[in-house]
Amino acid sequence: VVQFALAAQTARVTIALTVEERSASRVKRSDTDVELEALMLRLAAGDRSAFDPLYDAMWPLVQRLTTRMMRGAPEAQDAAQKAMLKLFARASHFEPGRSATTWVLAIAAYECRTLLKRQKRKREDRSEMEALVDAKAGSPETAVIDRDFEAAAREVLGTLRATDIATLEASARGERPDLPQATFRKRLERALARFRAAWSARHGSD
Amino acid sequence: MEATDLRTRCKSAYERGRVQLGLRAAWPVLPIAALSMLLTHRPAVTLAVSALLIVVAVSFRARGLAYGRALVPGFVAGAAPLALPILLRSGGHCCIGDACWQVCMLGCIGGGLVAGLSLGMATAAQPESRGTFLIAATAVAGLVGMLGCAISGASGVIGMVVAMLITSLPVTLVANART
Repeated sequence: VVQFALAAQTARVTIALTVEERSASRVKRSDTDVELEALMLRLAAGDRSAFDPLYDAMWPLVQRLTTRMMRGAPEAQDAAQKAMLKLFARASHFEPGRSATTWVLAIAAYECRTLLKRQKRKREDRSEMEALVDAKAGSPETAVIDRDFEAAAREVLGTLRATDIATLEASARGERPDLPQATFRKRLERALARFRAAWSARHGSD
Repeated sequence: MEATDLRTRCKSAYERGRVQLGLRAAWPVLPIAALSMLLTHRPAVTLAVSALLIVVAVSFRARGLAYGRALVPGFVAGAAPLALPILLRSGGHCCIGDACWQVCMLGCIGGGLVAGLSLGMATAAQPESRGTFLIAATAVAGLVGMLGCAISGASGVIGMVVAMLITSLPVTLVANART
């Protein structure tokens, strides 16, 4: 019975302490919010002297939220900066009675959500594109077409002059022979024109 | 982006926001200018005063504080010298003793007196920067009133301004003393 009474008393004390701590932290939080609201209202009325203290108070708040929402991604900094810019652009529309902290964090959270959505869409687009390329490259039908096309091109290439072949091969390899740039470009243009003419003569299309 | 760079960009964003706010606050000038253009038949004066009024309204609202607060009371006070001469424009002449006045001229002076009274009361209700508020609100009310008083020419405008000034200042002082 004594042990039970002691345990109950300890529990009561713990609960009381927790409640006290929580209410103390709530008071502290609301104090910050009141200060922020006062600064926001001053800035909304056009008082420029409220800008610097408000910036200094909001920047860490916004940074913390974006880092947490973006899970420490490097884009969190971008989101925080964008949120700050948006926030000050809309500061003149801040109305009395609103919670400044909620207002600031809502803008930052919206910025994070937009950035996360954009990132997700980019990833989806990239994976779709890769899947498409893989599907095309992997099919046997595509491999046969590529092989036939290469053989036909080599056949036509064989009818050209040695200088034209060398120029086209050098261009395909991304090399440039020891020639002035303009000369090489002209040679390449002429070789391509002859290749096109030979291809048309043999296959009847460009 | 550097921290100081972000601070500067935030300041610019804030100033842009203020100008947008000012542009939104200046919209009443457009219907007032259209009304003045239709009824006073002095397009040059109307255009010049309207342009000046838009600049004043945007810059006051963007500047904020007492200047920003003065905008709406200024427009409200200016409504009397704007409307009275236009409403009384076909009234002919009014003679008191030997002196004869155009009725719309009297409208300008009466409108100026009402505007001054309204400005004085609005100024007395201000918690701070009363001087700045009174000057800013008088400027706005004067420009709005000019758009109506243009109907009776320079004498009407001068009459309206003088009437506005001689009532607004004493009313402010009396209201100040009472509070």
